[in-house]
Amino acid sequence: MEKKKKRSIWAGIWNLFRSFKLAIFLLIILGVLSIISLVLGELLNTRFPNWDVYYAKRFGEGMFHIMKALGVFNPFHSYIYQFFLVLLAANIVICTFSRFKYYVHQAISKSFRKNSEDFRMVNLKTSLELKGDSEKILSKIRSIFKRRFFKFYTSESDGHVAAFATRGGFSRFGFILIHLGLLVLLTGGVVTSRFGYSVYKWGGKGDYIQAPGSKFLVRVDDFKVITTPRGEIKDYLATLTVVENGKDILTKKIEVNRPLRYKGFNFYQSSYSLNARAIESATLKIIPLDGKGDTTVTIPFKKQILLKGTPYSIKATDFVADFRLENNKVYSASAQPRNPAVEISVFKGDSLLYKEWLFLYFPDLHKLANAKFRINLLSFRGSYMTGLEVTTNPGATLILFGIAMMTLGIILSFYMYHKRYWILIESAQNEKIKLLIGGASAKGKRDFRREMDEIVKEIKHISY
Amino acid sequence: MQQPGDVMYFWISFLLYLLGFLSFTLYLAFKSKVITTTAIASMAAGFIFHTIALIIRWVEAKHSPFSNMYEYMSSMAWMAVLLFLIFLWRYKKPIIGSFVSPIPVMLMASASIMPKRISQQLMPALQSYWFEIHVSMAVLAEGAFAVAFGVSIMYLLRQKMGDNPNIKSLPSLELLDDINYRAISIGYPLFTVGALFAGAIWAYNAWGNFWSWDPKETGALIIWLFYTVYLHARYQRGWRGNKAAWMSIIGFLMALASFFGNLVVGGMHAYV
Repeated sequence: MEKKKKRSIWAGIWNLFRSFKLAIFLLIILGVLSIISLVLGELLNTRFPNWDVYYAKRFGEGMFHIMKALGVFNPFHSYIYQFFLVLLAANIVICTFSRFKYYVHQAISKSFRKNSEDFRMVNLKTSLELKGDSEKILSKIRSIFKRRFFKFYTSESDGHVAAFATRGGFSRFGFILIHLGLLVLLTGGVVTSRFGYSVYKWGGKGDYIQAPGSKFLVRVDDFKVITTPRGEIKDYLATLTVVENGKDILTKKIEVNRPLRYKGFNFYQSSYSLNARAIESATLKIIPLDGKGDTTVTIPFKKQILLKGTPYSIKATDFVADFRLENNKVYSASAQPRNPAVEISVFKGDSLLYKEWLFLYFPDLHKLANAKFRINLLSFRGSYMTGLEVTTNPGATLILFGIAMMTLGIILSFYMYHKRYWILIESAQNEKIKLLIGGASAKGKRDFRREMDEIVKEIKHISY
Repeated sequence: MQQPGDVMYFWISFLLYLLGFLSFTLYLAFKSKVITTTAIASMAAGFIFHTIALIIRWVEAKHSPFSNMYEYMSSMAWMAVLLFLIFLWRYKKPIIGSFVSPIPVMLMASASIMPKRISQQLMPALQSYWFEIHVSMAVLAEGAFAVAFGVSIMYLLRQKMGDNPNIKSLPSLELLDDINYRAISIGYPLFTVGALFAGAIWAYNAWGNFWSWDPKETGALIIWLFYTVYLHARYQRGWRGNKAAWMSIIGFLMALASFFGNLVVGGMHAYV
């Protein structure tokens, strides 16, 4: 008694999970949860730094932790959302596998209808009477179906001939492909979100970047922002070189839609920023204190340049975009050129005479003791850093495979129909042949009816 | 600044669609042959001018005409008219026009108030052939959903006010239901493969993640879930007619909401 009850509970759960009703219910729930999540994502934006501190202050510590546990701040990764997704996956698995046999059978079986009783369940059917020889009529009918690319089978019993024509049976596999593909895709998604990562790395020219967990380095050889004459951004172009065991392995120019992929690690061109501590070049005005004419020179960053007609050479040794000085330490308060400053070293021969900061916006700030000339910073050409999104995506292959399966499945089940015809040929009296024709299509009933009408018409007018 | 070469053709086609729409409205009351011919001829002529406008745009901009709201909405209207003409030719019921022709007119009206400047330079993220695949399929899908929407309104009208002599001339409920299902059967695969899959693969190529719960992505997912429910409910539980019509209407309204949402919400699909 007890056992029986237990089994019926399991049977009940099984039946629930193989039902369409549950699928529809879960799809609706997921839709509603997605709408709620979408709204929450807009109301409780977390796309700014220290958002947790902000919301903890706004809602109070206790409330904040409850909200966080409920997944309010990250609703698509909340337990509630994932719970229903898992239920849907279970539903798909059970639904698909419990119907698997039926669909395969429908796709490949040859089902003959051998007497009029067999035709009872067929919705579309007609009966005809023709004069002539059943053999010849059958071969004509066969050619009518063959011309339409049907497979045509016959079976003889009790003096009747039963024929079965089928086309597009493989489209039944579309259903299986779509649902299995969705499972593969979801699995890939879980693998990626569990084992993959996505981090942001900044790199200026010459910097080395390491993807967490990788055994190689990536060197930024170059980064350019290419603009049109009208100032629209045409392209971000970064040149990256993979360095493994001290050797350059490969160099690739990456753009927004063309990442570098190496050993499962991906480097995407994602953003850029002004380099706060380096420039391409600086343009300086050299004003001799003895009143001889001024000269303007453009010097590249960190390269010693001899000043023409003098024993002196200068070098731009440092750059700060937003100059700040604290405890004798120079740093940049931001990546914006709010207070750009270039540090200049002046040499006589090889010996350093002095070092001084030049400010773009405060040309008179510097105070050079025993100098022969004054230097002003006129302008500088900024150097840009590339913002690279470094990711691993271990589920990518599964996701792409799932997408391919689903796409194929969708093509099969939306653009191809399984059509079947059954024909029963009975010899009647007076050299008459009685024909019973039935047909069924999985989809596209209206078109099918039209096709069947045409076929019946052709059969009606068989002559030989 | 000189106005882009396609704009004149755009306005001509807009006016022709408007004429077609007005004629189709008159058709509800007067079933004269002149009105039917005018209505169909203006829609067809509008379609030709519209096609010319899109081709000129494509050639002038050197990229497919989907890169801003004006181009996108114009393309969507084009798709709706194309589908409408196909259904008209197949089912030979001009009355469908009375309910479907307002859709391209509304889309063209919205497109007409958007900035029409050609952006010569596509932003780097859009420089990919996935751009064409993703957007063209999404446009086609939404055009199909738009047709399903128009037909569903006809269905409900015919059902509720079947005694009215003007409404009586609508196609049968069965035919309307069939067209509704067909339009969605055309739109759904395009939407799944184009809007979701092609978008995801493109995102993977451009940013490294297939899916990042961007508002538009979530919106597309919700729409997809909704039409998935529609198909399952129809297939298994026999939700036809009334229920199917309501679902089709809600589905398209959601598509519109997600479409105009990017003007409000922002995110990775914020193009004006």
